[in-house]
Amino acid sequence: MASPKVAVVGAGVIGLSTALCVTETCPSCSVTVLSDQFSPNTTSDVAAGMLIPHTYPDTPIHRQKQWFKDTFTYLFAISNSAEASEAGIHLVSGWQVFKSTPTEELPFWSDIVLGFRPMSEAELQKFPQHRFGQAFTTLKCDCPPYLLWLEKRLKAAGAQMYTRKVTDLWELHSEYDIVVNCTGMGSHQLVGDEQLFPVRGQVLKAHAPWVKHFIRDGDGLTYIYPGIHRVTLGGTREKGSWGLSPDPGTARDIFDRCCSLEPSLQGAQDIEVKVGLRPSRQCVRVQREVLSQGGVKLPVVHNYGHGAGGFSVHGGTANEAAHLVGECISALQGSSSRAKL
Amino acid sequence: MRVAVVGAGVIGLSSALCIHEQFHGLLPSLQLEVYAEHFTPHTTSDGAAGLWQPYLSDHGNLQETLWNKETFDHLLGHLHSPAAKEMGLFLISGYNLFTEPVPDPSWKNIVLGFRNLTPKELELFPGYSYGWFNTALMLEGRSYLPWLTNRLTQRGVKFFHKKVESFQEVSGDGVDVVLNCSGIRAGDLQPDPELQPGRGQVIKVLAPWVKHFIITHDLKSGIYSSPYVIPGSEFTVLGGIYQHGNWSEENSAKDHKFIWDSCCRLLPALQKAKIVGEWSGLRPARPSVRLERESIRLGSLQAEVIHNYGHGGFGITIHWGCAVAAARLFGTILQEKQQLGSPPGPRL
Repeated sequence: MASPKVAVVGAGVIGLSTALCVTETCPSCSVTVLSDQFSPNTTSDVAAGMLIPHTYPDTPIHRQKQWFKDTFTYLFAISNSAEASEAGIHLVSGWQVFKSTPTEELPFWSDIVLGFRPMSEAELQKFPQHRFGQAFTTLKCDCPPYLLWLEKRLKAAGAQMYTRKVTDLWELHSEYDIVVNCTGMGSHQLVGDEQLFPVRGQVLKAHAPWVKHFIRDGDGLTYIYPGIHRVTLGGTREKGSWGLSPDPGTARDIFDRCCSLEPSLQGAQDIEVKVGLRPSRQCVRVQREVLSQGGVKLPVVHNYGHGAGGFSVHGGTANEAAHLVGECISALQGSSSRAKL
Repeated sequence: MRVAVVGAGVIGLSSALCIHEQFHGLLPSLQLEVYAEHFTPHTTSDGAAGLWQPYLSDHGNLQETLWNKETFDHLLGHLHSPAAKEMGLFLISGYNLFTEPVPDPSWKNIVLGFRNLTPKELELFPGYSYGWFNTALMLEGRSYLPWLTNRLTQRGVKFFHKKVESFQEVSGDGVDVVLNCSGIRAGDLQPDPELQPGRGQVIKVLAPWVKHFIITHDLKSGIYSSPYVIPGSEFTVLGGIYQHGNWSEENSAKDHKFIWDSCCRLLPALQKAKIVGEWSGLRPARPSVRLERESIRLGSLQAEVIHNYGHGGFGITIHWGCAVAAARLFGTILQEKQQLGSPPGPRL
C-alpha cells in the first residue's frame, strides 16, 4: 500500500495528538481529521489541561505511568523551547491539599512531576481546613492555544481537517483504509460502548492574573488552575449526567469553594461558566478492531475513554494508537501482497 | 507634635503609616506630613518588580535579616485579607540559579518550602548546575504605594509635592521630628559617601505564561548583574543590571540588549513576548541600612532626625521591619520630650 489513507475522527486533544503521531510514525500516510467540533468547541477546551493524572481502575498502573511519563517528557521539551507560548504549554507550581491524610502517601506519578515533596507546616498554614499536602511543579496545556498549535503542525505535515459529523464508522470504509476513533464521549453513540459514561464537569474561567499557583483539594472536586490568561476554577464530578448547560447554583458553589481555598479570588473578574463531559471508562480503550461487512474489512484503532485524565496521558496513548495504526498498515500490506500471489 | 516624612517611596510611606498607627491614639496632636519630589508612580519603588528576596548573604548583618523576616511575616499575615489584591500582594514561587554550589541563604527559613533544585529541574536551565526553589511574596509598588497613600490620607496625613533641600527647611518651620526616607537623594540632605547608586534597568514584557520568578547569579559580577525574570500581575519584568556608581536614569541600548539577549537565552519563549516598557532606576545602595536617630542643631533649634535610607535592592523586602524600628525610635523621642506616659516597646 503506497499511501495508506488514515481518517482520525475527533479533534480534541486525543484526536489531534494521535493524528500528529500518525504523520510522524507513518510519513507515507495521508491523514485526515474529521470532527463535528474543532477548538474552541471541544471538551478539551473546557478542561484546564493540567498534567495531574487520573487513576484508571482497570488499566495497569505501569502502563498509566508510562503514558504519563511519555506525555510529560514531550511537553517538558516544548515548555522549554521558543514555541512554548504559542503551544500554550507552561510550568506551574502549587499544592494538593487534603483534609484528612490520604491512604496513598506517594501517588504513582510523584517521581515524574518536578520537585514533589510533602508540604511543610508553614506552608499548610495557608490552608487552615487541610491537614496534609503535597507541593510540586507540573505542566499545563492551555486550550485553545495547544489545540490550535497541534492543528498548525498537522497542516504543516500535510494533514487535512474537515468539519463533518460521522454517524457510523463504517461510512468511512470507501474513502479511507484505516479509521482512528478519538471521539471521546461520542463513542457512546458511535460505537455503542456501554462502558463509556459521562462525568459532567462544570468550571469557571476567570481573570485573576495574580494567582500564580495551582491549588487542588485531594478530593478532586475543588481546584484552581492558573492558565496563560484565565484561571480555571472547578469543579464537579457528576457521574452519569449528560447536561451541557451551565448551572448557576453550581457556579456559585464552585466559586465559594475556590474562594475558601484562595480568598483573593473574591477579586476575580470576567467570570465565564463552562461545562464538559469527561468521557469516562474503567480503562482507556486503546485497541485495534476490524469492522467487516460483506467481506469488506475496515481496520479501526480506538483511542478514547480518557475521562478526567486526557491531557495527562494524551502523548502516551497517541503513541500507542499510532503504533497500532502501524500494525494495521502492516496487516493490510501483508494481506494485499498475499492477494497478489 | 509635627512630624515631616521626607520621601514617598515604600520606606517613607510605610514608616509614616507605622508611626501613625502606633502613636496617633496615644498622641492626638500628632500631625504627619509627607514631603517628596516624586510620588507614585514615579518613585524608585514603583520601578522595582516587587519580589520579596534579600541578597544572597547578609554579611553578618543580623539586624537586617530580622527586619526582612519581620516584613515577610507581616505581609504573609495580610495574604488572605481582602486588601491583598489592592496592596498588590500575592504568593509567587521560583528559581535561584547558580553555576556552582553555594551556602544556603540567611532567609532560607523565612520563605516557604525552601529546597535545592533536582537534576530534572536543572535541565530547564542549561549552564546552571545548582539552585534553589522556594515560595516567596510579590508586593507590587504600583499597587502598594497607592494603597499606603490611601491609608495615610484616610488618617489625615497631608502630602506635599516638594523637594526638601535641607533639614532646616522643615525643622525651621516648626516641625519637631524629621523622618529622612529620601532614598538615593539622602546625600542632598546630608553628605553620605557610603550611599551610592546601584543603577538598574528593566524591560517590561507581556509573558503571562511565565508563572515563576527566575533569578540567575554570577558570583563574580555581583548581585542583580545576571539575568532575572519576575512575573507580576500585569506584566513580567526582565532585568539583570547593577551598576555601582552610575547615576544615569536614562535607558541604555547596551543594557537593553544585554537584558533581552540573556533573558531570552534563559527562557526561549520570551522571544515571542511583547515589550511594553522600559525603565531605569537607582537602587539606594549602602554597606548597611542607615536607620538611626540624629539630633541636629540648627541655630537655636534642635531637630530630631530619624534616618531610614540606604535599602539598596531590597527596600520592599525589608521595609516593614525598618518602619517598625523607625517607629520605635520615634517612641523614644516622644518619651524624651515627655510626650508619652508609658515607655516605648522593647528596643532592638
